[in-house]
Amino acid sequence: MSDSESNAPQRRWWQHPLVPCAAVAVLLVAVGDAYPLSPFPMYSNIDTSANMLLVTNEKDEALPLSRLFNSGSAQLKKRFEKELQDQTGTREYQDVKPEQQVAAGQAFLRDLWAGRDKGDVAKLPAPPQVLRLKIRTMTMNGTEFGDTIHPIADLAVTGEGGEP
Amino acid sequence: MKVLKSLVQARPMSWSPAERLLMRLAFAAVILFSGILWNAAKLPDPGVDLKDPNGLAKVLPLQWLADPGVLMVGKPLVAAGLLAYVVGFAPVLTLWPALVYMLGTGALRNSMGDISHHTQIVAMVLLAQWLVYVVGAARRQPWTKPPPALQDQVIFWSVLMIGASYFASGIVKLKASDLEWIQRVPALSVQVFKAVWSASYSSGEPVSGFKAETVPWLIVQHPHLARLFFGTGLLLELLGLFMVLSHRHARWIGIGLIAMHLGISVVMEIDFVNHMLLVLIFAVNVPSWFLRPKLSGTPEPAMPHEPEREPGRAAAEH
Repeated sequence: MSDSESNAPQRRWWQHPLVPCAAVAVLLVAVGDAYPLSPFPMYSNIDTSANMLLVTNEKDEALPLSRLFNSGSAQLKKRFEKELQDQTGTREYQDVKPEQQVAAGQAFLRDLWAGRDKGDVAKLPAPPQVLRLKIRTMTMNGTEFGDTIHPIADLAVTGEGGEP
Repeated sequence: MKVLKSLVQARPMSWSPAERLLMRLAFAAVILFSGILWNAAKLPDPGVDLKDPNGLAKVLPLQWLADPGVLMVGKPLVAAGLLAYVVGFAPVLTLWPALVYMLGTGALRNSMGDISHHTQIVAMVLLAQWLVYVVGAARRQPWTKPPPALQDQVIFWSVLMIGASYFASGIVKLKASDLEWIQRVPALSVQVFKAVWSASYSSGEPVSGFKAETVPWLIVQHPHLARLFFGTGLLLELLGLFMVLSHRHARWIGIGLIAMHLGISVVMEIDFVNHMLLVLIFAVNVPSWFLRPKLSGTPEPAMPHEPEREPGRAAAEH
């Protein structure tokens, strides 16, 4: 930092305020996501397909994830992908065998259920007996859309307060 | 060449004592919201191994910050420190608890296997402010009551961090797409669908037909209009670099960025509240709209590092 960066007349090009600003930006891009630094890469790579994570009960009704587990669908999808990567070496569920999907899915659901907000689970009209992890995939081909839901794994839970 | 030079000509940036006070007050409130209410509510259990340590959590043991006892003591300490910071007392010391808490809990929050981008901008501005105060103290400037010139530098670096963040985000988009981001905009229809349904799966609320069906359909049917709409957002991010040129640049680019965030919020249900608040506080600087006209009549005494100003120039800038 020097006084010249903001208010003093710029005598040299490196004293221009754009220089430190650009330098910080380049640093952020170079370092990547390393808290507290980030280049904010959201929607930088626009793909023609997108996956969404949902968890339903035994009646296939979607559970409100943020309320019950304090994390939203997008965050939980990344956690499931991390679990899949730890177990199989890839984040893509399509690239692994069904039994590997089930193993990673059940490990994810066990963690999820262990971290539930018991008070909010108790407030549900009926606490879930089974958690079903599903990935919904939306694709675009020209002007046509495709929409599929792929079941990953089920986990029986014994209701509020119970253990899987 | 002359035109280019005039486009990037930097103007002096300084702030009145009242503006600086209001900025500190508002920023302290944002830190409390993001550092205590947001991050602390989403911390991993202190006994559980971190799934994927990120940033500071890779190099420092931070899990003690998630201990309920530490949180109980830490929160009032952060609040008391921020109160002292707001009144301008010894920020090198009084910002320290907030810095530890914000950076520590943020790194923990992002070490659970997913990365959230809601609080980094607050943490980066806080870190930059503290570093500027530290450099000032190291240069033997009064550290218990920082001089106005140092306080101006602190705000300037806050604007700089915000501008650099947006510029970095724009660069990443161009880099990741091999400069084809604008051409790929029609595929954002799928991302809109994803954002809207993800929000619904998170909240349990039903989706809006307009956002989940009409908007993606409109993007695909009118790709050039979509490119214009989303391309404007990319342009605004890249313009973030120029926020450091003058108050006027900061204000108008800031207003554009807030409009961009509001547009994204309406179309995709993705809110970047902290980003909007920091842009509003440090770049748009609403109090200056009311305080500056008065100041033009009674200008502040020139600061030691500030060039002589023509009468009324500060006001003319706005």
